[in-house]
Amino acid sequence: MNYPGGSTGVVDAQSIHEQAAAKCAQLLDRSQFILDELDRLKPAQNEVCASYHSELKIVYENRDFAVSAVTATDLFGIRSILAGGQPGFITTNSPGDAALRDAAREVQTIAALSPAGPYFCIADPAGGKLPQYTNAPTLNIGGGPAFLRVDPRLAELSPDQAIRFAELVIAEARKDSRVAIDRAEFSVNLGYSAIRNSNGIVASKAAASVSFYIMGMARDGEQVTSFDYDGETVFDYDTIESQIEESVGRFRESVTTSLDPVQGKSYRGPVLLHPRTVLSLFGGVASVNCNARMHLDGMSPWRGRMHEKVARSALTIFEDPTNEKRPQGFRPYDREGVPTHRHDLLLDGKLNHLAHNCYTAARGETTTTGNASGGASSQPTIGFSNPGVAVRAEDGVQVLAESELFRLAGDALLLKRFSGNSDHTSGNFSGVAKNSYLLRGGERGPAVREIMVQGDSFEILNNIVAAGDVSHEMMGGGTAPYVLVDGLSVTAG
Amino acid sequence: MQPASEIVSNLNRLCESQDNFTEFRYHKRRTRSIGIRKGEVSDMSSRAFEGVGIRVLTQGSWGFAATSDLSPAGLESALGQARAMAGLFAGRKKEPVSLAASDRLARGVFSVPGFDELEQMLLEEKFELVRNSEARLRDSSRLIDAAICHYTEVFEEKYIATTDGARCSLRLVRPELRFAAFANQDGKNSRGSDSVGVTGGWECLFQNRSADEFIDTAARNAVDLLNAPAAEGGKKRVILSPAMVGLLSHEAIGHTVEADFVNSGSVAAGKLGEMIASPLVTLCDSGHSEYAGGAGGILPVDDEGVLTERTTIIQNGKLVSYLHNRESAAQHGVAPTGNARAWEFNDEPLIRMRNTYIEPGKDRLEDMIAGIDDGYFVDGPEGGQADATGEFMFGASRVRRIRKGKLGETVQKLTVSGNAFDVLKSVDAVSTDFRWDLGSGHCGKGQPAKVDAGGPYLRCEILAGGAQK
Repeated sequence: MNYPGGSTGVVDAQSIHEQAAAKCAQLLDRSQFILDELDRLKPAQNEVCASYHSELKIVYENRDFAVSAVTATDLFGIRSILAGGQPGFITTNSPGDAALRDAAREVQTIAALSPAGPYFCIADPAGGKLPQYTNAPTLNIGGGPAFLRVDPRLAELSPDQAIRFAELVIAEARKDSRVAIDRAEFSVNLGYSAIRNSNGIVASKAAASVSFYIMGMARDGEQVTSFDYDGETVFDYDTIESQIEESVGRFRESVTTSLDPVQGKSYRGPVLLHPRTVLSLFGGVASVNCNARMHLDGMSPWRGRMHEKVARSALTIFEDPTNEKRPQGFRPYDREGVPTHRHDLLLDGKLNHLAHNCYTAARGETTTTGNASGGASSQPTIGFSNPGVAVRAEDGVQVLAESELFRLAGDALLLKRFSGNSDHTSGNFSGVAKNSYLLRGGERGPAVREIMVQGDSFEILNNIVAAGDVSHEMMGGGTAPYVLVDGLSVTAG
Repeated sequence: MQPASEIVSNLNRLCESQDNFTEFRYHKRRTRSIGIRKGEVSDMSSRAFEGVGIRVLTQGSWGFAATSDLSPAGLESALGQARAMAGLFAGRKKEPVSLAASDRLARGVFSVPGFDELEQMLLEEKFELVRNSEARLRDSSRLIDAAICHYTEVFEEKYIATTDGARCSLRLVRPELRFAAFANQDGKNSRGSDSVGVTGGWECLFQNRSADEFIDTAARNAVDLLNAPAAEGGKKRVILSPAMVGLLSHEAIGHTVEADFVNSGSVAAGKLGEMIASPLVTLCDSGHSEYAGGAGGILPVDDEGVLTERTTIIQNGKLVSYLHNRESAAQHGVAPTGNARAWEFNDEPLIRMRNTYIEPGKDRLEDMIAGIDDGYFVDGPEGGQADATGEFMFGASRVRRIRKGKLGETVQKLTVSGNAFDVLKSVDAVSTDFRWDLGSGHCGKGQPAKVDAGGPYLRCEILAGGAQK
């Protein structure tokens, strides 16, 4: 990005890639500077996670452009584990030598106050070899692999072009005059990150992307619908327009079909879950309860149940951070620099994967699974990328064409968006159905007015009745089919 | 004390040489956290985030840029970027932005007590409290397997200068303490929690309840939920605790009266002067801490340099004001209410709430409970959301049945929902009590914001999302 003023119109791909590589190298240099400073202080295992993010943002509110903004931020997350196992962590956004020296001293001061623990550690390079990727080819920068996914036309997108794309977002929404826009944003992002530790881990990556989202409702006379939102992050210039058309079209359809809602009825029974809800409910319970820390701390009801059946045999829930076709969730290495892999969290209904970072792996006497997550602003936690839910015909569960699935669901609620609270340790979830519909004789019927849904997330994994035969890609990554579940309580107002 | 005098003088110098309206905001946020989880350190960290955000208004359009380079050259460069950004919408903007003039532009130093105390207090003392609290919570019942105690303190230092006269520095600190207990019995699991968050010092954290009381609440909550039946779904008469009243005020009403939301067509649009609630209800949003000290969202000056005030939103049931920044105040022909807030230096200010509450009434809690034949006592706020339609939902983790005027058994966590105005019209009793009680809650609207909310106990009718037979 060339701000202010924008692009010259001539995109030099080689130069853009050289700039991206140079920025990765710069982050790795700064990281080495911090490691050298830490080395001079106390004996410790040290790790630096560094990032730089620049953004050009166009904001549209109500009926007009609101603000254009340009920001750029460095971030350094420094972890030091003193010999003996005392951990400390600090984040700073000041890249100067003096500030980084201060941060190095402070992180070890903090660590010195911590009680020692036997399991605090950083990653070891023996954690595995990184595979070759096509769309983000592996280079060598600073002595470690680097993944650059930088479409030069995105990196050089001018402010005027960004405004034109923002106008496209607005125009797509306005194809139906009943759409009322609360806020829309279009941003151009350049993100770089690097990880370097005292055990010899070195890795970096860079990506250019544009993101857009739109939030609003439909109005028809005095009638106002619930809010909804949609959007996407795009890494390929050629797909910006088609992604805007698809995502904003989905938003437009969602809010306009929420007009003229009817009163639902209270019942306990089947509910047809939209793929978005399948991901939030099924994915939510799996991500909490496949986290090794939850097992080690005795907080998950699935502890001690590895390879046991916890759901219908028809169900598989997976993550695939190595999937380059879904770049939003593409993570070639994790927050600790360890290579990532595809994992089936639940396989054929059985608990199949416990996700570890280095800490939980040491505590559980196993090896890390490359599931350390987070960025420079936080210590590594445990997380998943590119989640997916798959259902096959098995164990009495039917997989049907969507039209047949809708017929099977009869007059059930079609729960499109769940807005509520889920406690994935007890399983209890309760909330409001938003932008949802009643099914009428196997067809999507009218939108439903304020209606509440309550259930148990462990039970619904075992109460799957049927699923659609199409897997839908959801905003921000994640794929799932429609799933019909039984045993939910629906309460109408 | 002001931020480094060199930064202040550089910002003042730049501010004085601008032809267009320009707002400079230096912001340094330092966060320190201590977490103990099942006897082991889960967090021992510090975070510093410092820089300057610059907004320029040129030909009716806003441009914004931010930089962490605080040198004169870095600031000049960011100013140039903000100017260039403001010029981008030339010929595209339908309605040029104008700003309401304000006689409440802040000048001087604003310091909320507690900053120096917490900064000077030894980290070891805070660590000991967190470690002991987690151990006590874990040991408080044989059914509790694991516990978490987490302490965070956020030190905020700002300097704001605008070309129309604001020149102010602000210092405050916001400590928070969170407790969570995890119980299990016969394969059933539950989680209980409690938290507190204030603007002020260490003593302020424990002004209403001791650490032991928070521990006791979280432990009992986890144990009680193990065998609690699901709540019954449907329209119910309920008593909302001060925390839930705060959440109702924030989610159900507060968001619908944020002027940007009003301009988008929220349900509150066009209703100024109308009775939208029971005459028993007076609802306010304030940068100060009325009725009790230490509210978590105290803000003497907003991020446009406007002195904050108490804004009455609903007066005895009648909608009397929206919440404004300078831009929306000009659109609506009123004075700004000091509600412009930015989370960090690289965020542009948005209209946000501060401390939102319902004023206490004249009823006794005991009498209010006695007046319910079949309903719930709802406490323990969890996440909530509001909608353009006035529909809202929020979760509650500590809920008890009320039968024939008596408090009964604990039921499972539930979510309550309703139309904001319908619920407030159904209010028939307001207690004399008052408490700020949103705990460690934050509000999300693109950016986070530390807010608080509270009030008295309140009796109303609400939709409970419980089980159906």
